Amino acid sequence: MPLKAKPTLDIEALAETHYDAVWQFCYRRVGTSHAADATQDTFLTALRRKDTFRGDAEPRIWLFGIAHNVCRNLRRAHKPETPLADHAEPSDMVDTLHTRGTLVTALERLSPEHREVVVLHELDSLTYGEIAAVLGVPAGTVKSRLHHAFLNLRKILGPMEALK
Amino acid sequence: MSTTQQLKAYLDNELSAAERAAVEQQLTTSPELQEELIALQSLTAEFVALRGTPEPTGKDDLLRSLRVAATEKPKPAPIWKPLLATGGGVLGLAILASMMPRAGALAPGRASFNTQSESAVASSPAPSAQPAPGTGMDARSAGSRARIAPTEEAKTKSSAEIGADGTAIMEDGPRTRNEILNGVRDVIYNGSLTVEVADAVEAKRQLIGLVTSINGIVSSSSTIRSRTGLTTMQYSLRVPAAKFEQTVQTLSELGTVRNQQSTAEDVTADIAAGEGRARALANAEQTTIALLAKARTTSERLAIHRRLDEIRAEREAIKEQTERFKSLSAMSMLDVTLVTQTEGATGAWWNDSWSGASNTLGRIGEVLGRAGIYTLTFAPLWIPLGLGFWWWRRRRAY
Repeated sequence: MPLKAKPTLDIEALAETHYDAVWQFCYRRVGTSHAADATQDTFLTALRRKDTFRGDAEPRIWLFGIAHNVCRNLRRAHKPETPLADHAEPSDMVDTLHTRGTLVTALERLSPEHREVVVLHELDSLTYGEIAAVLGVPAGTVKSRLHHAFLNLRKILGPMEALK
Repeated sequence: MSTTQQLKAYLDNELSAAERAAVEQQLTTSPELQEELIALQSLTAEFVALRGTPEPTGKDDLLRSLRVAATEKPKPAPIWKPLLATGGGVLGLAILASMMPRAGALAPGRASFNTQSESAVASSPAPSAQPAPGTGMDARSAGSRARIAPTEEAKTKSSAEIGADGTAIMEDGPRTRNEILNGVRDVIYNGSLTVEVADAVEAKRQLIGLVTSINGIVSSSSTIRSRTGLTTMQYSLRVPAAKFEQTVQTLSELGTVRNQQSTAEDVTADIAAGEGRARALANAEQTTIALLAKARTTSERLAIHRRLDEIRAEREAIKEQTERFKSLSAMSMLDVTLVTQTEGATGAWWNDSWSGASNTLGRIGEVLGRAGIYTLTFAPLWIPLGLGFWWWRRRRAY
């Protein structure tokens, strides 16, 4: 069986292509004030660790995996923000049942594992397989977590809606 | 996974063709599933409102940083960190393990009957083979009892056991004095205890109270105050044998135990021999009295009277000795010394500090030495673990 050739990465080219995606990924986790720092740390880490890229996933997903850990460490070191709520666009809520704040509050009340898969899927628009690659868990786990996360979201949002 | 659980994946187009067909089949027949699907669709659609982000910033800075970083030689991963962490963990565990009490150590509550050192030895001479003149028994002195060498540290593991020949044998083992007492043997227990106390008056009050409460007596006491301010109070106590262990334990808690010794002597055989001898002498007395009635001459009567006096004297001596053994085995003797340093004393305080510090340093050295041996011994185990941990962290993080 022939050995698979190890892919080589041009991190500078990746930064040109995926900077915005990684920045948005980081923004959703650490907020505006730390998004640029987290993105920079992600690419510098990628530069140092580019030899560990095995080509199992797209470079973008590999970068998200790094960013996921960088943001997690950053959130441990700093007081977590609620980044999803600091970019309100009134036009976004016109056709929704719940306000943006209500949805963000409900998200914050989910467990970290459930919240992470919801954000990765609904906001970062990753597939189950890509989420599995970022988190390092099986795709079945992602599917199960997402199902239970939505069940919990509906439980949380039900009483909140009734209070309005 | 049930159809309800598959709905979210169906909505996200993450099902295989077969799974998708099965869900669609269920949807056509189940209004509840249809409602569930609509609710999920509606909730999923609401997240669109959260997707918007501000305009990304800092791209140019990053590109500049990447160009600078690309020219620098990459630093090797700090492999020493996980190795140090794992080695430190193993060292910590080894220190803890070396400080744990060893298996087989006696419970603290039983230590009062034990001597104070692992090096405690018994030097119990065999009971005298020659009966004392006139009594037919061994008139023992305190020196004939089992003795235990005094020790430096209170970490003793030895206990007294009574041999078949009546000799107290000191050996490692779990037998306690109460276990011995539960038998039919008569054992004399003696002990000495030196305790350093903070408040001499209070310690004395507690000692007297304890002795009174267990129906013991203080047979003698003395107090000595030295010029250096050291106060030494000595008490000779007689306490019921059944309360001996409890008394030693309670008195040990008055302060810091400096010395503790216990001795045991089995006098069962001596008492039995004495009682047997007394019975034989009683028979001999009766026989002699019968002979006296048959004596015909004065000289015969005088000779029988002399023999009768000898028999009675020997019988009384044996009876007295037997009673003494019984008394001693019923009431144990305990010599207690309370030592205190009075306020304003000008004693060699630095001496205690110096010896204390030296002992502590020695103890630390011992613990570190043991820990080092543990760490080296387990190196084949923890080094691969550390390397595995480093590799796992490297993969997990990036």
